[in-house]
This record gives sequence, C-alpha cells and structure tokens, in this order.
Amino acid sequence: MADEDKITAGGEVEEPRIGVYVCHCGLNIGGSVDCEALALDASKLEDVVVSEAQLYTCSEPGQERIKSDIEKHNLNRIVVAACSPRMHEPTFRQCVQDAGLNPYLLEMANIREHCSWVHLHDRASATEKSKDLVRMAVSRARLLEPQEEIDIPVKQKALVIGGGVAGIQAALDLADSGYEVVLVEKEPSIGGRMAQIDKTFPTMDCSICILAPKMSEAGRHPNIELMTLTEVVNISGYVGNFNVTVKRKARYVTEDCSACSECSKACPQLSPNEFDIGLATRGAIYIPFAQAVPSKYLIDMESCLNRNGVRVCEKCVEACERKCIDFNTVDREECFDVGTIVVCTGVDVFDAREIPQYLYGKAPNVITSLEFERLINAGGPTGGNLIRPSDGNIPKTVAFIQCIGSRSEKTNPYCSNVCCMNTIKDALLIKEHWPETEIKVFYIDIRAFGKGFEDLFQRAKKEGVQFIRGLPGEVIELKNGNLRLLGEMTLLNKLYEIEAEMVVLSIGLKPSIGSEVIRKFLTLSITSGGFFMVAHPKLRPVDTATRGVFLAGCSEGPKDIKEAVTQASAAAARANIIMRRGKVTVEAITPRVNRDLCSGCGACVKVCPYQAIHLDSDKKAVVVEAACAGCGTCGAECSFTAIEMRHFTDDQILAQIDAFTEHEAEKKILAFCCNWCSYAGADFAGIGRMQYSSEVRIIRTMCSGRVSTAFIEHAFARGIGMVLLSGCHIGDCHYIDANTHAEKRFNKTRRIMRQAELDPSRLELVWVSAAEGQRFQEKINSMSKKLKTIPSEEIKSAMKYFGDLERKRLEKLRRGASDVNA
Amino acid sequence: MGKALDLFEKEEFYKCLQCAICTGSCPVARVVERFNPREIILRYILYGEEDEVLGMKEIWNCATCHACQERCPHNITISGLLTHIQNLAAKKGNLPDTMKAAMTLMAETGWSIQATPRSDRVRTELGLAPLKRPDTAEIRKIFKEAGLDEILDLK
Amino acid sequence: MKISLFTGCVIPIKYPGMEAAMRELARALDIELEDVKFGCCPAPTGLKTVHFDAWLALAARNLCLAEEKNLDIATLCSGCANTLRETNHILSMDEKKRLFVHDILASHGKEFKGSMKILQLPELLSSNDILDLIQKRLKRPLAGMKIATHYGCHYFRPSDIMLDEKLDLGYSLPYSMELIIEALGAEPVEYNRQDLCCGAALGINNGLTEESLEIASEKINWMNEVGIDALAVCCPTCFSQFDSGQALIKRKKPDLRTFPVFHIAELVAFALGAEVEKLNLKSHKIPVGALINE
Repeated sequence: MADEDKITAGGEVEEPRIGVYVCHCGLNIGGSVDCEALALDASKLEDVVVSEAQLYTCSEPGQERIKSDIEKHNLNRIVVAACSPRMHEPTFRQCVQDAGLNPYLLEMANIREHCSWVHLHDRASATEKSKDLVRMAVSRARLLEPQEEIDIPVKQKALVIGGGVAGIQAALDLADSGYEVVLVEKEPSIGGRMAQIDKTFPTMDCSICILAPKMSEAGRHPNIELMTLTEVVNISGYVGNFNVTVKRKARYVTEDCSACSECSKACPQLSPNEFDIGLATRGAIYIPFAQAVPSKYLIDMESCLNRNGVRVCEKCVEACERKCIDFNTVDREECFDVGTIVVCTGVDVFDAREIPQYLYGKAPNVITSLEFERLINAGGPTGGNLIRPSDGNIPKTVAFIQCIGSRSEKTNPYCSNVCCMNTIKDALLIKEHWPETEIKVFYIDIRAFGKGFEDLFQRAKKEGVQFIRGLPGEVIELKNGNLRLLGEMTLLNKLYEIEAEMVVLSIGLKPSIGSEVIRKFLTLSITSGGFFMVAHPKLRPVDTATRGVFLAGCSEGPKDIKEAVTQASAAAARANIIMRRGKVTVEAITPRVNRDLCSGCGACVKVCPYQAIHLDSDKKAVVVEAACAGCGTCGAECSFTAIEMRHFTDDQILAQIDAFTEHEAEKKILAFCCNWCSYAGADFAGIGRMQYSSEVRIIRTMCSGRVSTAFIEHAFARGIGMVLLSGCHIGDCHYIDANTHAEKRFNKTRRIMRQAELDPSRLELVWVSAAEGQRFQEKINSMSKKLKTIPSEEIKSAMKYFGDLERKRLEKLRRGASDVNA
Repeated sequence: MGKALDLFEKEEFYKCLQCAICTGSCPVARVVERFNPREIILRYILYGEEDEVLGMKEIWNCATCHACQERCPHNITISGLLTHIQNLAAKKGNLPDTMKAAMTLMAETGWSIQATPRSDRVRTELGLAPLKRPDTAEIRKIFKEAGLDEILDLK
Repeated sequence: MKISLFTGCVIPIKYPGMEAAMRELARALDIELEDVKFGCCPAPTGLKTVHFDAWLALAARNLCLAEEKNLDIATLCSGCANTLRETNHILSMDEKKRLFVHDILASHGKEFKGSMKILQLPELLSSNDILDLIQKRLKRPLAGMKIATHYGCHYFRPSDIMLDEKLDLGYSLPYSMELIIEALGAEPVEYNRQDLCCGAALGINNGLTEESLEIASEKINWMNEVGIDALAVCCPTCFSQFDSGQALIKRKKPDLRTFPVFHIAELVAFALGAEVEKLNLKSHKIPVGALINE
C-alpha cells in the first residue's frame, strides 16, 4: 500500500525502540499458543529491539526484567502480550513509569482472554492469530506519544438538591467536613417523606422525633446555606466548577417571623393541607407542619384573596405583631458555583386512582398508606386517632392491600422496597392502640429482608395479624361504608369474601416529578423504572456517570431510611474525595483540535453527549477538558480530520488495521469493541472458555462512537473479509448515547454498500454487554460461517470501490489543507 | 387481545406473580368450583401440565369476559391463553355437545340461533322485511378452508 | 349520515322489536341505514373459543361485505362489535393472520382493506351532534326515571381495542349510555359491580343455567339496593340474561323486586316518539308498564 502523507499532529522526536514481552501466564497462554515462536516472530518486526517470552510477566521478576531492559536497551515503547488490558494495564503502566517512561507509552496485546482461552484446541491458528495481535500492538506502539494528564481546580463548595433525610445527611456530613454546602429544597420546609410518617421500622421510633434534631442542625449549621421554596433552574459546567442557577420563590414572610401563628388564625381562607395529604385544612398563610425548618410561615398565593395583585384582605398583616408579612416579595434568581453535587430529589407516591377497582377516591374508607401515617400520627389531623373518614369511628377490622402501583407493568414494574415492612409496622401500631382490631394483610410476597425485619414480621403474626396470600380482584362499597373484598387465598386454593371497615392501600413509590429537570441538566441516565442510574450497580453505587455528581436516597431507587442515610454519607464521602484533593485529573484521552483544519461546521458539537466541545467566537471547535469523558465520537464525526483523539488516534487505529491485513485479509474479521461493554463481553467469553472461530482480530476503542466510517472503508479497501461493529446496548452506553452514532454510521455504510452492489451483510453490528460473553461467541461463530462463503470477486470489488472512495476523500482533504496553508 | 401476534404471548406469562387478581375478578370462579384462571396459568405454562389442563371439562366455563386480562397488573393476555387452550382442547376432542351443536347450526344456517316461522311472523307484524339468509354455501366453504372440518363434519 | 347496519343474528330472530326500534330512531335522527347480507358475526363466546381461524375468516368476510358498500358499520350488539373490531385490529397488526385470511377470501372474490370504522350504537348516539339532535326532537322525555346501565363485557374489554380513548382516572367504565340517558331526560345511577359480566355465556355454552343466573343475581341485587326504575343494555344476550333471567329468578324468589330491561335502541326510539306497537315492548318478560304509562 502506498504510503499516504498522513496528516499527523506532531512529528516523531525519536526513533521508536520497542520491547516486546510475551507472557506464558503459566499454561493459560502457553498451553494453546507457542509463545517462543511468537517472541521470535515479533523480534523480526521493524523497530523491535528486544523480544522475549516470560512465564509470568506481571510478577516481580517479570516486571523487573522490563524495567532493567528499558534502561539497558534504551527502550522507549513497551508491548506486553498477555492478558486483557482491563486486567493489568494499570500494573504495567506503573511498571514503565517506575522505569522513567511515560505511562502512555505502553501497549498490551490481549492474547489470553481474546485468544488462548477461546481457541484451546487449535494451537496453530491461535499462534497465528497471536502473531497478528502482536503485530497490531507493535504498529500502535510505534505511534504512541507521551501524554500529560492535566489537573483542574475544584471549588470547595457542594450543592445538595433535595432536603429529605438523605439530603440533610449529605449536607451535614459535607458541612461537618469543612465544606460550604448549599441545600436546596423545593418545599417550604426540609424533612421530606420522613417528616410525614409516624414511626419507623423496625425500631418503632417516632420518625419526626429522630429527624427534627437533624433538621435543626442543618438549619443552623454555619456551613450550610438553606434555600427552601427554591428550585434549580439551570446547571452548567463540569466537575469542580458547576454553575448553578436557582429560583427562590416568594415566601411573602420575612426572616423576622417567630412562628407565633396569629396570622393563620386570622386568615379567612381554607385550603387542603398538603403535608396531611388533604386530610386537614390550612389557611392561605400557614406553616407546613409544627417542626418545620425554617420555622417560618409562608403565603400560598393561589388561595390568598390578594392573588390578583389587588390588596383586598390584610387580616394577617393586622394580626402580625412583628410586621413580617410582605406582599411585595417577588420570585428571584440566584447564581453560585460549586465543586460537587449530590442529587437527593426523593420520591412521589403512586396515585391509587389508577387502579379504579380498589375504589380509592370513591369510597371514603379506602385510604393510602401515607394517609394512614397522618391519621395515626399524634400530631396529625385527628390527633392520632385512626378514624374512618365516612363516620369518624375507629374501625374494628382493617385490611391492607399490598403492591399497589408496584411490581406491575401497568403501573410501575419494580418493587417499592418499603411497603411490606411499612404495613407490618402499621399493623403493629394499630394493635398497640386498639388491640381488639382484626387486621388482615393481602399480599403476593412479604419482603422482610433487612436487619430486624424478620423479627418484626414474626411479632406481627404473634399479635394476631393475618397474612393472606392473594390480592383482591374486587373491592365493593357497602351502604354502611364497609368494604367487601373478593379474591382467592392462593395457599388454600379457596375463594374469599371478606368484609373490612377500612382498607389501606400500600402504595408504591415513584421517581419525583422534579427529577426530570435535574436529569437534563446533569445528563444523568435513568433506569427503566425512572430512577437515576449509578455508574456501576455493585462497585460504584453512589456515583453517576457524570463526574462530580452523586446520588443518595430514593432518587436512586426506593429504599428505607437506613439505606438512604447510608447512601447519603457515602455520597458525601465520595464528594469529599474530589474536593479534598482540590483538583481533578483528566485522563489524557481527550481530543486536540487542529484549528487550521477546523471548518467550524459544528458536527462535533452536535454529537457530544457531555456538551464538552463547542465553537468559540472564531467558529473553531474548542474542548472543555474537564467535561470531556474521552468517548471519541467527535473525532469520528469530524470529516476534516481536525480532531485528534489523544492516545486513540486515527493513525494508531489505521496502523492496527494495516498490521493484520498484510496477509490473507479476506480470511479475517475485524471487530471494533468498546472498552466498557463489548470488549469486556469478549473478555467474559474468554474467562468462560467459550470457544469460537479464530478469524477475528479485535481493535479496542473507548466507545463504539469512536469508530468512524473511514476506518470501516479502510478495512474493506485493504481486502478484509468482514467487519463487526460492537458496543454497549442502546440506552446503556457508558457515554450516555454515543453508541447511537455508531449505529447511524453502520446504517450509512450498509446503504453505501447496497448502492455499490456490494454485500452489505459483510458489515455487522451487535450490542454486547459486559456479561454477554455467549452473545459475542455466537456472533463470531455465525460470522465466520458466513465468511467462508464470500466469493473473491466480492472481496476484490469492495477493495476497488472503497479504495477509490478513500483515495478521493484523502485527496479532497489534502486539497483543503493546502488551501488553508496557502 | 391487544398484542395480536398470536393468541397469547408465552413470554408474558413468566411475569406472572400468581397474585390471584385474575381469579379474584373472575365471575365464573365464584360460581363454578375448579374454574380458576390463576391455576390454569400455573399448571399450563409454569408447570407444563398441558395435557392435564387440555383434558379438563371446566375450561369451557370461561365466559370470555376479559376481566382477568384487563385487571392483570402485568397486562398478560390471559383471555388469549384461555382461547388457545379451548381451541386446542376442541381439536383433541374435548368439546361440549352444546357448543358442537351451535357450530353445526351456524354452518348450516349462517346464524347462531334457529330461525322459526314465529320470528318471521313477528317481523311482519312489526313492519320489518323478512329475514335474509346469508350465502351459506360460501360460509361453509370458508369454514372448510379455515380448517373447521377438523372439529365439525361439514357437508 | 349513512351507515351500514350490522344487526347480528340474535336481534332479527329473537328480538325483532329492537331492530324495529333501531330503524325508528334512525328515521327520527336522519340516519340512513344500509342493509347488508351479513351472517353471524361470529359470536366471540362461541365459534372463537372453538376454532379461532374459522372465526377470524368469517368475521373478515363480514367486514369485506361492509367494505364493499364503502360505509362505516353500526352494531346493535356488543358481541358483534367486539368480534368485528378485534378482527379489524388483528388483521392490521398481524401479517401472518392477514395473509391467511387474504388467501381464503381471495378465492371468493373478496379482499379486506380495513378502511371502515365499527361503531357500537351507544358510541354512535353519544356524539355531541346526535345528542343535541335527540334533545331537540325529544317527544317523550323520561323525566324522573332512575336508569342504570349495563355495558356488558364485550363493549369495553379488552380496553385497548374497544375504547378509543383512555378512561378518566378512577373510572373503569365508559359513559356513552349515561350521556344518552341524560339527553332523554332521565337520571343515570351507579351501582356496585357495574362492570361485572352478566354471566350469560355460562348458560349458553355449557348449560349451567343455575350458575349463570347466580352471576346475574349479584348484579340484580346491587341494582335493587339502589332502587333503579329500569336497566339499559346494549347487547341482546345481556338483555335476555336480565329480562328472562329476572323472570326465572322470580320463580324461586317470588318477592324479588323486578325492573324492566331495555335495549338502548328501544329507549331512544320510545323517547323520540316511535309508535309503541312497533317496538314490540310487550314481548319483554318483565313488564315495561312504568315506561308506557308515561
């Protein structure tokens, strides 16, 4: 192939002197690959100074050997042919760094998970494939450049969105650690759901009693700025430097308020009290509940008589001794910068009217579990008396129906975590006050998984609470306000017709409505249930994919108080790590823009999932390093080769393709795999010893979005048999939605192939998650079957077609570049 | 059956939690012992007891009211499953005589109930046109082409 | 407006009074009816459970006959509407089934295109225009009557096929008949278990008349608890179940409080001034005296 004048950024300062180390890994590699032959083959490659096989390269002696060779032979690039880089890249990077080499000058060839383990019974093919993999690694190593990671400063201030128990805990932990914290809450008081419930399980503590001290502390902590009645309206920026804009809604009551309550006594208006879920009323001027923090009144303009701007009533002003009511207050915006953000937006509850046959909203004695909490709470609208809304009597029989709005595709598919234990707790509360009450719980499963939960469940049964497996199909309202439940006891295979004086619907939890807004600002992913997704479900349970943004509490999924507080402290600790360091290091895989080549078309801006690249006033692309995650989608999208992706350059990828298409390209399959999912999936296939055909050669990129159509064209122009594009499943992309661009390019290339009367099925696409080793194996096997049927005319036609296409494209770029340079 | 790719989607049934809302809503379950939609799902799909279920006489008691399917928290096509079971059972010979007679009547007359001279008389009294018999030959042919002759003797 | 009338087989044979009522009210409301030589729809509780493919093919044939006239279809029976609508839905969504039916129909010179709408009578009559017209041309307002409705299962289930719009939050039943009843000057009332099946299929398919009437009894008891004056239905099978059903139940329970049952077509035709003899109301098993003495 003629050497094109590749437009490289930065010339070679030194001749590459490459050391190749082939690891036997005991018999793991040595058992199916001839490592000596491999080392010998590598030694013959240009620029390779040292090439040898070792038993265990990652061991002490193995690493020492590399370090001493670097010094002895003046090596400046290292290739380790061994296990997956996802295993030991950090190990070998540290090793070469200790020997004085820049850690980005290391390349690994995966001849274990991707070769020896999956071709156990074909030593010859496995060895030939390993030779190709090492050649690819050497080709890339030649083009590797030393990289410097940059540090950017981090503001010593945190934003906590949401003032429920999770938000309060996170704010307190961060404030106690010495950081400034802004705690933003959209309701007039902090406290969230925990302030509304009566007792907690399994301890049967009074909820507000244990929460109130934390609320006060948060209210008066010198490091916490509490902003209630406030909503976040915009967040921009990146880790260490988020710019936050909030809207502070008008309270109409000033700081001087002492919560004496004279104003609300004088107010003539009545509205349903939200805190008591409409079971009680409040005035237009009110305090949400007695223990509110801040302990200040506020005016609900919707119900105030002065809502149209005309002052028709001033009863509250007259009653207020401290003169702290101000009708002239307006909403206002405030801006501030923070270094980290903890999202604690909490939950809303399911609207039980969505299940009409349970008569919620029609029959007065059918209530929800949250309404129950307010009724049984001594500070609630009935002074703690559980009374029937229809006649004010204490019910003698109570039925609880579980899973209302949970575990259901019709409503919410997930389990809401807390309802089983909540009902058990509620049942015990009823028995405590009215021991004669008959209580029946209708369930599908009872989930008593936490510490002390089983004991509480047992206690309930001992107190005589009956648990009946089988939710009612019908609830009928009788003339006296009682309810008849019709259903089947599945454990007895018997139908039931049970009458109860009150029915409590155990409603599920839903993501808070405000979360959608926050989600957009912070480009957070959500799960199928609508809750925010964490970076890794097992190993990074409070991080989000966006650096510097953490989750705690029910914003991440339904959970009880203990789990919420645990997550909150964890999130605070994680935020602390970033802020304590004072700076964040950006991995050196971000793009570099060549301003001379940049045409200002903005294609890169459109595809960046993080809005980390934009056009400056000169209409040239500019990268915000800290916001960039290094996916490479911008680089692949740029048709002017103006963007160089550091450490994953176009040249490096093309060199890898060239390396193994020197010989018998038509018998090989090129597979692009993304670091997070499909490469890991291929590793998983290796770990599981899933055997597949040996034609495939894998090139790793950080994201499938990195793969440009130019790479695919080049491969076909070189005469490759088939090409496979693979990455994370749509919706699961590690870089949010970058893989959708890979899909677009795949479709585009297939269209081109169809129009050129080539066989489009030679280009395939598969989404493989890190756990889907079998899927990867099946795909390769089916492709290799197809590979054997491709006629040589097809290969030749594609070579010609794509070769011409590539030549034309490069010619156009060359002309464009010379125009610029002229 | 909203998702009409086949009479029922087997995949859906693995979501069944045996919550018993279907049986709780079923009007027939209350009056006929041994008719239990939840149990039919459990035995037919989850436990694979297909032959036993296909041999039950009770499956014909379904009133096709669709309450089970409508109320199921997972939108499972329970009515579709019942129809499928009934169809299969009929092919295997499990078909009540009353229904066989009704099908035969339809194949012969094109209608599901017997027209009598009385009905014609009343129609005339009310000023209505006499009953117009549909093209029964075509109907019978269509039945045959659709495969109804596996169950019914179509002349 | 011109529309194809699908009477089904039960009404013309067993309850021709309802067919007469339909023709009367159509005349009064300027609706032109086109008659088509339909066969049995076929019944969703009958043939469908025995042989789905034959049911689908026959229903498609009926749809083709209507399509030839290029008109929408109005049905008098929820069972018919259910069959026709579901067939329409299946044939437009399921390619395999559509081809199966296409091949059979083609040999008889018919092709299904799925271009027409299938309306149930209450849907047809509860559009704003028709309701206005009914109120304008009302001759015998049913003032002071408490009328309950029984839609019957096939009217509104499965809801994704039978209902064009999702029901309001907290509601499990449509209210087209209630709107018509209000337009006729009467008062629609609710009762417990209003969405329960009438149970007719149990008697028809299996001869389990006792059990079938047990189901109907439950509804009748709840209706009597509210104290209704009449029941409105839109399906002849449901009609039979409640009309003949009350008569049968009364034999065993002589002090059963009974109430007359009407097909909605009968109520509307009566209120619009149709000749009472033409409606054949005397054929009802439960006497309709209260209404006629208006």
